[in-house]
Amino acid sequence: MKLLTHNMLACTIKGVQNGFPLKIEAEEVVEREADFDPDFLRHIFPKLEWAAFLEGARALGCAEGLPDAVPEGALEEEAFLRAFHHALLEVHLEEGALVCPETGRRFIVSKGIPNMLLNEDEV
Amino acid sequence: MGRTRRIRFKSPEVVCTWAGSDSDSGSNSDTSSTGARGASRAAPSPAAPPRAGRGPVRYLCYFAHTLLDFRVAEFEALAAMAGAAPGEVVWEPPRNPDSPFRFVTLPSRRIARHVAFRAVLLRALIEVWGEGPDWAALRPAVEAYAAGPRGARYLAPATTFRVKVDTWGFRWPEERKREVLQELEFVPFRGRVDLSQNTQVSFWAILEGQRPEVVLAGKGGAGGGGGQTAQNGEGQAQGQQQQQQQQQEEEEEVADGGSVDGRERPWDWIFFGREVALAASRVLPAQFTLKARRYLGPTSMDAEMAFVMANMAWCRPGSLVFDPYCGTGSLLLAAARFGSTVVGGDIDIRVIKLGKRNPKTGAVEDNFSNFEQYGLPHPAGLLRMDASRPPFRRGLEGLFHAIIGDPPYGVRAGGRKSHSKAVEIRDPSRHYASTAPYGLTECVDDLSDLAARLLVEGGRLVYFVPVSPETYDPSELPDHPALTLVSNCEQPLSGRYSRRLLTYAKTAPYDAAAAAAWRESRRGFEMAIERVSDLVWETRPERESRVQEGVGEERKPGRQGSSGTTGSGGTGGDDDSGGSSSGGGGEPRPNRQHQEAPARELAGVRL
Repeated sequence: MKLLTHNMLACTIKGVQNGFPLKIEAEEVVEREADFDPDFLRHIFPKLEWAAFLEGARALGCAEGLPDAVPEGALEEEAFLRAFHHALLEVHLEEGALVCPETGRRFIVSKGIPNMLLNEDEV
Repeated sequence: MGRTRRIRFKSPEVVCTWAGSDSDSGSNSDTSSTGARGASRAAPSPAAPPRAGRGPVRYLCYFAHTLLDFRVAEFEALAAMAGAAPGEVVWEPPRNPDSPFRFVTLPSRRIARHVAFRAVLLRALIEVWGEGPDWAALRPAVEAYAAGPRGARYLAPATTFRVKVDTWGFRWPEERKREVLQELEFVPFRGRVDLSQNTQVSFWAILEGQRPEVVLAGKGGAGGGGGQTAQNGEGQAQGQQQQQQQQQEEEEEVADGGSVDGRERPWDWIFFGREVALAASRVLPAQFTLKARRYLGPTSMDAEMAFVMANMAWCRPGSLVFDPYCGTGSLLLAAARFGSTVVGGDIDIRVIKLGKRNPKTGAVEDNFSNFEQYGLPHPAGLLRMDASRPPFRRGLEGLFHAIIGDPPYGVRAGGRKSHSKAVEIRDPSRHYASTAPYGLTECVDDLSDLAARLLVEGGRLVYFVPVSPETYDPSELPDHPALTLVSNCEQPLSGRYSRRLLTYAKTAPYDAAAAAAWRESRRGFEMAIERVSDLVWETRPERESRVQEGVGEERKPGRQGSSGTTGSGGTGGDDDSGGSSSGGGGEPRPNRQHQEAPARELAGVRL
C-alpha cells in the first residue's frame, strides 16, 4: 500500500467521528520505482490531507524533502515534486497496521494489503 | 515518416492478425512490379504527411468481428476522450448490419490517430479510394483519386508500398487473391514493392462477402469477447489469435476456392483504399490473454473485455482508477496498461491477498505478480474492503478519474457485504467477519453513489449488469442525479442470458441532498433480474414438459415454495459455503455460476 492509498482510508466503525488519519505502524517497508508524472501529482495534491500524508511519510521513513506546509508554487519545482512523488508512490507499506486515532482499532496490513473489513459488532 | 505513420504498429503480431497479408505477398510483387512501370509523374515525397484538409475526415472502419454491440461505443468513447464533441462523430449506415465495415467521419486526423491507437475492437482505418459491386464500378473512382493530389503522393516512385487482399465472410486460396491483384493493374503504382511491415504505404483490396447466419450466432455467444468462456477457469481465455484461428476455420467451411453457394462471385462489395492506421491496441487482448496469466480466478474478466472497459472509462496516463470488486485484477491490469494509477478493493481476502505458489517455480503468484508479469507498476493500493461501506474518509470528492468494475451479482449466490450481528470475538486478529447477501440493485446503487461522490466531473463509471430478455427494462437501471448514461452495450452470454456494459459520465457535482433523495426513491426497489429465478420457476409447471432432459435436474421439487429469496436463492450445488464472502471477482467468487445458472435454468423455459 502506498501513502496515496493511506491518505484515502478512514476507520468507518459505527459511531466513530474522527477515524482519520490512521496511524501507521510499520513493520516492513519496500521501495519500488514508479513513473514520475507531474500532472498526476498536481491532480492528487489538492485532494490530499497534507498533515496526514506527512505523518505517514515519517512513519515510513520517507519524509525527507517534504515541508510541514507546502509553499505556493512548490508544485512547479522539480525537487519538491520528486520528493512528493517518492513518498506518495514509491514507498510501500508491506507489513504493519493502521490504527484508528479514536478507537485504537488496528487494521492489519499484510502482504501490502490492509484489511479494512469491519467485524459484525462494528457495522 | 509522416503523421499518419507514427501510429503504425510495428510489432510482428499485428501482421498475423491480417488475413492473407503474408501469403499474398508473393503474388503481390508480380502484379505491382508491372504496375510500377507506369510513367513517372512528379509527386510530393511520401515523407511529407498529408496535411491537406484540417477539417473532418472520412474513414472506413474495419472492425474486429467480435463484441458487435461494443464496437461503435468503444470508438465513440475514444473519440470523445480525444476531444470530439457529441455529434462530431458521424456514422454512415452499414450496407449490411452485421458487417464489420462502417464509414465514419471524424472531426480531425488527430482524433482518428487517437482512436486507432487505443481501440481494441478496431482493425484498421482505411481511406477509401473507390468502392462498388465489381471492379468496373470501382475503377473510375480509384483512377480519379490516384490522379488527384491526395492519391498521387502515395503512388510516387519514391514510395514503398504493398497491397493486402482481404476477404471477409469467405476464404480464398492464394491464386484467387493473385487474380485480384491483376484486376488492380489499372492503378498507376509507381513505387517500389515492400512486403514487410516497414512499407510506407499499404493499400487494401477488401472483398466483402456475407457471413452465414450460423457463424454470427456462434461469434455472438462463445466468441463475443469470451465473456462466457472466460468463466471457465483453465484454458478458457481466448486470445485474439485463437479467435482468429476459429474465424478462419469458420471461413474454411464456407469457402470452396471458387464460388460460394454456387455464386460466381462470393463477394457483394469491394473496397479499395489506403491504410491510414492499423489499430495498435488490437494486439493487447492476445498479449494479456488469461491463458498465460499467472494468477487468475474462474471469473477473471477476459482480456479483450477488460481493455474495452478501460477504453470506455478513458483510462490514461495521469488518471487514478478504482475497481471496488477487483478480484484477480484483470480490469486494473488493463487500466494500468493504458497508464493509469490503480486502486483495487475486494471483500474476499482469498482473491486479493493470498495468492498461490506455483508448483513448478515455487514463486508466489498473486495480484501483484500479475502486474510484474506485464511489466506494469504495482497498484497504488489493494484493499480488503466492503463496497457497501467503503473505508474512505470524507473530502475525497473528485479523487478518481474512473471507477470500473464487474459487480458481484448472481441468482444463486450474489455478492456479500458486512452486516451487524451480535458475536463474541475472542481473538480479533484471527476473526473472520461473517457477511450478508448483497443484492444486485443495492450493489449498483451503492456503486453509483460512490462514483457520483468520488469521480472528477467528467469522470467515468463503467460496470456490468446481468440481464435477461424477460426482465430487462432500461428504466430500472440506476439513474443517479449526478451521473448520465453514455452507452449501454449488450454482450450475449449463454442461451438467453446476457450482460450489459453500462458507461456513465459524472455530469453534475455531487449534491448530497439530491443523492439522498435518489437513494430514498430506490429504497426497497429490486431490479427484475434479481427475481429471474423465481420468475422462471413460477412459469415452470405448465412448461415442464418442454424442459429438456438434464436441464431441470438441479431444480428439486419444493424449490417452488422458496420464492422471494433474491440474490442467493440457492440450489444444492452452491460452493459459496462458509466464509467465502465473495464480494469481488477472482477465484472464490462464484460468478460463473451466476452467469450460467440462469441460462441453464432458462434453457428449456421461455417466459
